[in-house]
Amino acid sequence: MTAPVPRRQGLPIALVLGAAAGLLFAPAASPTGLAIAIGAALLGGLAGARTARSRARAFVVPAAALLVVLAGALATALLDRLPPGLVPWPLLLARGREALALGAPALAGALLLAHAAARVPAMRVLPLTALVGAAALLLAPHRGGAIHLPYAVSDRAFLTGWHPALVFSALGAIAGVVGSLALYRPGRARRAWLAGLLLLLAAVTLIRFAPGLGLLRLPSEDPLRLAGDPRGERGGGAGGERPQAPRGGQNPLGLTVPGPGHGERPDEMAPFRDDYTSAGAEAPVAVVVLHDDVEPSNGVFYFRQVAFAVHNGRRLVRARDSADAEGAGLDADLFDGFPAPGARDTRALPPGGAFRDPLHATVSLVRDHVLPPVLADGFAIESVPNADPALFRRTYDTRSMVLTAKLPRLLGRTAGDPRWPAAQDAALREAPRDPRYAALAAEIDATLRPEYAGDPWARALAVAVWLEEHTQYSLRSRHAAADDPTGSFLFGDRIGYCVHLAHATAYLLRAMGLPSRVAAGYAYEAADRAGGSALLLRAGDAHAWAELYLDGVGWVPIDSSPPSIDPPLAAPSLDLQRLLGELARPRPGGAGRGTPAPYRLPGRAETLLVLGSALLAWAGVGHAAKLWRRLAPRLARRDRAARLALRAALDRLAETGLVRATGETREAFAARAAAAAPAIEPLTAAHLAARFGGRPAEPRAAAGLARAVAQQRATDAGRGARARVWWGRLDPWRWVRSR
Amino acid sequence: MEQDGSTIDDRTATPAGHGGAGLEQAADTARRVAARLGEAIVGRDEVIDLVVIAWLAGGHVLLEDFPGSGKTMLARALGASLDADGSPFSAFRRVQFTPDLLPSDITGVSVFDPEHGRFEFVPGPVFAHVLLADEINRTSPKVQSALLEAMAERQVTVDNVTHPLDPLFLVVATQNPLGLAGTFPLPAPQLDRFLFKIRMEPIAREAELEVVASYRQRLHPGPSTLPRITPGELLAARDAVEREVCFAPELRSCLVDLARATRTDARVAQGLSTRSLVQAVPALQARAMRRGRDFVSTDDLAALAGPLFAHRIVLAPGVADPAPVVADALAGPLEATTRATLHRG
Repeated sequence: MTAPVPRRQGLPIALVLGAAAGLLFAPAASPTGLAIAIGAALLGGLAGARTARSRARAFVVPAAALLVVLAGALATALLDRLPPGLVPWPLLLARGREALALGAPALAGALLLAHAAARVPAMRVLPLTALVGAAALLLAPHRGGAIHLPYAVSDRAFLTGWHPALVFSALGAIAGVVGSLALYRPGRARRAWLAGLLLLLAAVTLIRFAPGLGLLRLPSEDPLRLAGDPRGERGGGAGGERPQAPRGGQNPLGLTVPGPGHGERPDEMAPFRDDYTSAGAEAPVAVVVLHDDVEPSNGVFYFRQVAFAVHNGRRLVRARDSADAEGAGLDADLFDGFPAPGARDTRALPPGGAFRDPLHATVSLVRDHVLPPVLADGFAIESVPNADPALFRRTYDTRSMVLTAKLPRLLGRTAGDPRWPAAQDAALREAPRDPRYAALAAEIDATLRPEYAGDPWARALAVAVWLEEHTQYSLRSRHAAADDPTGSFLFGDRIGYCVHLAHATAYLLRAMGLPSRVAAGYAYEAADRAGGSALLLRAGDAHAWAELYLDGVGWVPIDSSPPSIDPPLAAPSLDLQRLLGELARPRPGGAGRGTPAPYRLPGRAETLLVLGSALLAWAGVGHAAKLWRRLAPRLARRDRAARLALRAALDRLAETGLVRATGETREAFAARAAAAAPAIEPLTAAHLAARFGGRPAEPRAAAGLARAVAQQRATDAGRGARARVWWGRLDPWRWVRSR
Repeated sequence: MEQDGSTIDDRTATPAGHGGAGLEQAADTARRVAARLGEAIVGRDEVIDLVVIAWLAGGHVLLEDFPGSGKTMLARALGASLDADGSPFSAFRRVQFTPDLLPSDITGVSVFDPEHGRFEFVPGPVFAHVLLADEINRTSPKVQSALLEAMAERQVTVDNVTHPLDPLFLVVATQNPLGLAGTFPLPAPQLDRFLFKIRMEPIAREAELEVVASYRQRLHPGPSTLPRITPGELLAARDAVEREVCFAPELRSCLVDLARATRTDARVAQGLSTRSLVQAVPALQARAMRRGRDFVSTDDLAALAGPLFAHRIVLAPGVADPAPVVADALAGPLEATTRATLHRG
């Protein structure tokens, strides 16, 4: 067996193992459990190093470790099986269980690792490996630049207001320094730690100032890697079931603007298209923070960007884009762009206050949009400072009246508004000339129970129900080439997506003489917010739906969701939704509203304070150690007097720049240094006589020689040499060089 | 000559106080030998020091030098420094080694004495205090091994009769590093018999000037006025060095680590033997005594490692110079030992 590790290495091994246990259990454990785990690892480390020096047989320690693990598991299982109520203190029970579950493995693992490390030199790398592994496990979710992971780190960063990128950079710097320190030879550890400390300070300083110097680019576009496939398109938006191949919409830099799914121009939104896929449907496009707790009546939040009211023979289009209809009033409730910064854009208050509740929301767009998605029915939007320019393209407040009335209350209203000009009323009721729509509308009317016959709301519901029962939802449709894609869908294979369904609904309603239109934007299942106030809109939430106008109520969505033959879009990640919601939430205090200062960077004074105190601590510790080494010979026992005196003398010589070269013997150095301080020779001789000759020196004489060296050195030196001596005296860590 | 030699002598005059009187006596003996040698040869203080150390340690010396560098003078002065009156051995003998030399030319031969009707042993040149074996690599291995056996065993066996040699017997062998044609280089096990192999560098300019200026006196030296030493004093000095100079465990491990390092060096075919370490101990002790210490220090190891070990290493093919190998092997243990002296023991 090789020589075991000397006694003093037990503590470092235990400390490293304790740190590893801390890192490993930090995300999962309560503070108490964490403390217990660290304590157990420390204990195990010390015990492991201690047992390595004993003469115990090789299997004893692994067996003991196994026993500890088994005992811990057994005790945990027993606690789990205690009948409830047997122990009156459930919290204590939970704590005890956690202590056992974490402490036992930590103790056993540390025992085993420390024992191996202390017993076999080649295994000394094990504790460090454990530490590195624990750190890597902790930070593993961070790979790929996902700054919101791991939450244990990013949450804390968000709470304190530090930019996570800075925090992770600092962690990386620490890891780099610790890693390089671990590679140092043991003999040089003291200098290595010193160098590592300085390196760390430099790294932290650099990271602090890096953003200002342009060295560290705080992610400005898509830092969360939310876009998914980089080939995917930006944008989304109405009918955003997105085409596979980007067709325009992306400039060569890849920065853009609405993708084709969204339409390069507002009039191209929600087109009929056969080549949609659901690729990239998970990509976030916007984050909405609700300021009022409002539940929409049909369980869906509709974010309307655009509405198509005018039939152009093939489909419905915006009034302003149609050739013949003068747009009077048809688009009056729509927002055709974002207001200028700080400006407010208002529309007439939607009717039906008794059926609606006001909802104030803040929308932060992750993707560029041409038209603002506004929660229906919106009456005002206002540009506000971007909640986080690093994450969002823009932020705006919307104020809406959301339909919240119980749906049966809508029965018995008339459709349309008598105040409408005739042209507008006619446009909203203009159905395609295809007689099949009227025939189908009549067929659906016939299914209504007599008491509901003629009621607009009941007829609209009947249309929706009929569509749900007779069509199938799929993005893979075959109708884009038809003259009337809606007709091709409705009277063909009846397989289509929301644009088809919305048009079919609107046409059937119009065929019944009810004023309706098709709206496009995003639809969000209210249940997905899981009680939170943040809504994460994703590309897959892009939607088109039909709307019916009821007198005194306003536009009411008529949305049918027939069975889908496509794989459904999963609910948004609640964590991501909540996180982005926190990021998008306007900062309290008002100041944040005026100036976009999303993250705290330490101020200059703060930085200087930290650096200054670090520097002071660095110098203070060094000078204290130096002073101690200087005074030690006077207090030394006889058997170490010569050694401490020589050490003090070497420190003083090091201050003048005289240092023993590697490979130079003590005698040779003394002969060389005797020119500056003759007393070094007898002192060296006394030290060596004590060390090699077993003849302890007289403490007083040795201390006297050390003082003589201090007085003699460089007294007659020139100005340059004197300056060097002064610098050597000021240098708090010069003594590290004496050897 | 002044700087190094004088410092040695100065210190020798005031030996480490604590060491007993025996050590003081030994230092004085060594100082007297060195003084006589220094009188005879100029500018060779290091060589003189090593030779004195070798004599005190009971080892032999191999000088690697060029002709005319004063080795005969050195050996002769060494013999002359011994007060051998009444001793059965002559003070100094010199053998020029040639290819046709026979072992009996070294050891001596039994000659028939017709007067007494029996064979009588006529001692060869090895029966001397100091033997100068000049150009030892020019003779056949047979003769070489006869001499080397005498060096190692300190006895000669001729016709089944064993004749003990002088306990002070010191061989100063020389070999010329150039002109190797027609030579029989000494194999490593034989080189191992020499305590030191000393490479003599050209002497300093001042020293050489002095040699040229005073060559006539040196050619015919009058009897030296410096005191001689007796064999008893030298033996006592050896005894004192062996007993009274402390050889600390740290240095022991340093020495062993050095040997182990040579064995793992890629440039080395065969590293240092354990015997060479054993032989090194008295040499280190003798040097410590010469420096006025009663303990061996790292300085002794650093100074003697080259002469002690360089010739005992068998180098791998293609490697010419053993000096850096020894220096490299020593550097680590030496620095570690030196540093450790500042740490808690």
